[in-house]
Amino acid sequence: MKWRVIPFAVHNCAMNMAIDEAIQESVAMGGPPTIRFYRWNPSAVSIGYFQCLHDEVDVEKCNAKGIGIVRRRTGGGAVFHDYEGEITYSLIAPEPMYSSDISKSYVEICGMIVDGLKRIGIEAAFHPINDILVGHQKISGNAQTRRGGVLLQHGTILYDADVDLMFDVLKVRDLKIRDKIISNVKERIVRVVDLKSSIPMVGVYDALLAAFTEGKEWSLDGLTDGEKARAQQLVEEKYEAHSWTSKR
Amino acid sequence: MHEAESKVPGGKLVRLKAEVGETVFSVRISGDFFLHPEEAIEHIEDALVGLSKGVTREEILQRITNVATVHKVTMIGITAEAIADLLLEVLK
Repeated sequence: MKWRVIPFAVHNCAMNMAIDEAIQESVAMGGPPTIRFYRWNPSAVSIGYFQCLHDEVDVEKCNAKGIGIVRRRTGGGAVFHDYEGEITYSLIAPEPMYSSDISKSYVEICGMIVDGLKRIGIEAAFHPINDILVGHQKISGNAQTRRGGVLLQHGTILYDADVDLMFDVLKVRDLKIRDKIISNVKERIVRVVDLKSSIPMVGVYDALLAAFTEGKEWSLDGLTDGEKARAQQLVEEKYEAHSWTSKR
Repeated sequence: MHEAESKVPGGKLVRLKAEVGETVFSVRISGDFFLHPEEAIEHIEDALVGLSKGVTREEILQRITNVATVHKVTMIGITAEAIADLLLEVLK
């Protein structure tokens, strides 16, 4: 099966999630399996399907700083998507192309990120349930959903994320030990620039693209007109709707 | 609103908020776990509404298992046992 790879693009948070859903619907109707890499502008927080918005995000601070907020269709935690500091990928394919065991399929797909990082000299490893670590430090988080016979997995690779800003907009549960928690989390994450300071973001993208397309028949192609229209509809009716973002 | 939370093996957080009187009036389960299909979380929450304050762990587990069976639920980073224990904690 020939894969479609959508060129590296930048969208706001609602459009990024809407595009994922539009492509998932498209693949369910026979469209090609698709890989895309993208950035978020403005920078944004995405929360998992099951998260309570106000437990996780300082909404007022995000609004004051012009940081977007979106609820994902996938589970998992709150993620700060720094426009300058992160690459996000989405892989959307018919379920039979990967293991029917969701946990095993995380290993398969995350293996491509591990391979991509290896290509730029970073030795990383998959860590269950859905993380990629360099040593004990997290460099990538991932989340998957399966709907209509189609698997969507998306995730982030930390390039040069502003960790201080991340903690400014995400809520820390126990204010009494906030500093300790932040210090602990900072110690437990790592960015590409911490390990390979001279690699530009496009170099990371090139390595990930090579890893994700290895062994695949693929071509660069954009969204169809139908997908663009559907994505715009999903932005308006869902991903920018208060009812979706605040659903729990 | 009563609330309890726990970390499930694998490091995921599960939080349960409930309005309770002599029975459970409402339940909201949140966290950074995975559950497939995602919409089944609402069925699990609905299944816990109406349970009496003196409900046993086994009864809670049975309700969750019934939903999980009907909706072919896969839980990752969350367990029926974790949900049951959180509800019992809230009902104390």
